[in-house]
Amino acid sequence: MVGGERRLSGQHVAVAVRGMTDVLDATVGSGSRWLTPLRGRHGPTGLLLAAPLVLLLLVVGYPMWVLLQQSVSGPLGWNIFLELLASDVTRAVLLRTLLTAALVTFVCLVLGYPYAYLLTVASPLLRAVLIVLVVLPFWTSFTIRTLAWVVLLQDQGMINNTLSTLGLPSLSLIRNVTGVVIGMAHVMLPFAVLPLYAAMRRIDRRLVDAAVACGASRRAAWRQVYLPLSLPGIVAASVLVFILSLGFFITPQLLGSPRNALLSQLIYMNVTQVGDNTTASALGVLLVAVTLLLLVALTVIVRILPGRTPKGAR
Amino acid sequence: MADQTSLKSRTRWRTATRPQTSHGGVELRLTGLTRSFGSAIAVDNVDLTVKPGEFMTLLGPSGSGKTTTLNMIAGFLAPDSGRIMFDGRDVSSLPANRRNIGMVFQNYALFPTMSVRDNVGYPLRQRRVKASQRRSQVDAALEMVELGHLWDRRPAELSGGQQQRVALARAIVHRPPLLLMDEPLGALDRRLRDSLQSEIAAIHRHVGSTVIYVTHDQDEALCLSDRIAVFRDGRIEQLSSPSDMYEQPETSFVASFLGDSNILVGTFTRDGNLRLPDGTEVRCGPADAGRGDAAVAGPATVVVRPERMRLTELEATPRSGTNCLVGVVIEERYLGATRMVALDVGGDRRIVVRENSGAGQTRPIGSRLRVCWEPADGVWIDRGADRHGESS
Ligand SMILES: Nc1ncnc2c1ncn2[C@@H]1O[C@H](COP(=O)(O)OP(=O)(O)OP(=O)(O)O)[C@@H](O)[C@H]1O
Ligand SMILES: [Mg+2]
Repeated sequence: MVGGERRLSGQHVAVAVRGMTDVLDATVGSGSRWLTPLRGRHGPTGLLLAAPLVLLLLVVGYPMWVLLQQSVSGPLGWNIFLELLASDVTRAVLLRTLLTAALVTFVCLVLGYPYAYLLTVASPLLRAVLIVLVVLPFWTSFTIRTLAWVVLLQDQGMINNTLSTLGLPSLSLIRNVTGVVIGMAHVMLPFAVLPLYAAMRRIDRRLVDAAVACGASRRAAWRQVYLPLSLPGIVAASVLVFILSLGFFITPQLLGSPRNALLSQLIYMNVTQVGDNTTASALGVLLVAVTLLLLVALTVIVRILPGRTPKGAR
Repeated sequence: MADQTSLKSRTRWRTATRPQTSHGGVELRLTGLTRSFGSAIAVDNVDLTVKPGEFMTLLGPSGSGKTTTLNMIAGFLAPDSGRIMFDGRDVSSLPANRRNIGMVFQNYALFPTMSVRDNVGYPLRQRRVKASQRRSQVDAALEMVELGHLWDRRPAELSGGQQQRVALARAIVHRPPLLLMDEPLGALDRRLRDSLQSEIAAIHRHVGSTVIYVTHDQDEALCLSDRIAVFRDGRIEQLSSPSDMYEQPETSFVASFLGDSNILVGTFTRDGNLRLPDGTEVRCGPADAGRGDAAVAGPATVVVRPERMRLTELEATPRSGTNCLVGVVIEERYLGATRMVALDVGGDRRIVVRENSGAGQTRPIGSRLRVCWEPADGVWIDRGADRHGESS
């Protein structure tokens, strides 16, 4: 029975990996040509890829394997997953994690899209400045950035102090979903802006002029011509931000509250407070499984989307 | 045979088009149109009136302001000053999408996410034409460019020539009163250009739009246009019919830009001849209207087309009244139907003669020959209009 399950999960992983490459292919387009060798088309390139692939298997695949073994090592065996999915707490946390990630993705797209567009139209100098502004946070510690938000958002923080001096009612911005989303969106913004910019810079903006010459208003031209062309960037940005958001820990820990914990926090609690490594591992596996499942679902959607991949295109 | 299909599509056009788009061409009038980028003036005080249904070509070297002019007519670029009028109505402040134009871009500019049919139907969709009617109009337009069978392809699945045909169909599907084309054939090879040129000419006849056509290909300009406006440094250097442009160039710039030419520089004599620096006197066509006035004694320039010149052996006696010079062959270029022979006629002057290359006769380099032409074939260049004199 155990063996059967293993084979099944192995198959799932294969499907998921294929799904992931498809999504990346469809989303980042030519940017991910390096993934095609995985399908065995280019011999020499495939060999070149072998080394990183082996490394990846070692540092990602092996721990995953250990994690899986640990989660089924308890008295419940494989049933621990059923048990977890049956638990109200786990389900609520899982749902909250997904919704938070979705919200963060939405916020990042809304902020990132205009920003990326600005990058494509800016003068070279302004563009350089704007890109540095996006990438700059990468050079500061993650924790410090989140702590900065604590300073800004807390009940006696800068924002609420300003509001009260203006005689306005104070806002509850921390220890709730609002705080978590603000903090996570800030960290995730570059992951939205960069894929969006990569997709947008390839769009020939004379196409919008062509649409206008055909009689379309600027707005219609944007919606009917520009937006569909930037869709690959939107999908890529969404996938990246959403998946990274699923596993967030420090930001929700500092800006959220235990009452509305996310999956990563639940894992943490299981390890540090309950000392239940089996459940913690199983939750980790669950997170990975959900992520892969979503990727596969997305691949299917991308396939179905009309006009995404030209048949027999060069 | 091609005529049959186009006749068929013409009848369909008539029935399928909505009233407000079905009138032929618009009269386009540009007055004092000026536009600069920074300190550089791209279009400098251009006046131009294009008659309804006329095929007007803007011809000129790179950077002479053709695209800038076209973009202002289309509404993509605001003029610094001057007016643009369609049928007497000032459209200068009208956005591009409200000018009811058709436009073909050099890089095709087809929408990659849409099929050929959706691309061509796009202008109709913007005009809220009903789907069923849209379909028949699109099919008619595609038939005109002989692409009916490729309607479900995407632009990426078409060759360059096919893409440009689709772009053409998209520009005319709504029968715009004004059709603008910016080097539509620039990216295509010679053969494809030729076939698309005749297609453009046929479409112009059938749709009846006023056409503004930008090119820097002189052959294209000569064979397609009703009139040509030669641009130079943002100004119109000459505006004439193709044959006048070729036969009666007003400046040496036009003469050398449009076809090959021999430009003879000398002084104007009292009896209406041109005296070359070496003292030879050359008789020329009538020095009238503007050209003559400008040529009252002093430096003057005459243009003679290479194909109007003939080469003869030195022994043969020239007909009286013809102009003749004696020169040494310095270069011979075989061009298939014709042959270009370059002669040194002394004083560092070079004369190029184009003759039919028949009967295996050659002009060996170094041989001395006489080159003759009729006085009427020498065209005076108006010194007032000629800004750069000798430049060629
Ligand atoms: N957006 C712009 N910014 C700055 N200068 C420009 C711009 N567009 C055109 N120019 C300048 O204006 C002048 C006219 O350009 P234009 O594009 O109209 O030339 P053109 O006749 O179409 O040339 P070509 O045959 O090469 O297309 C050129 O000197 C060009 O450098
Ligand atoms: Mg141009």
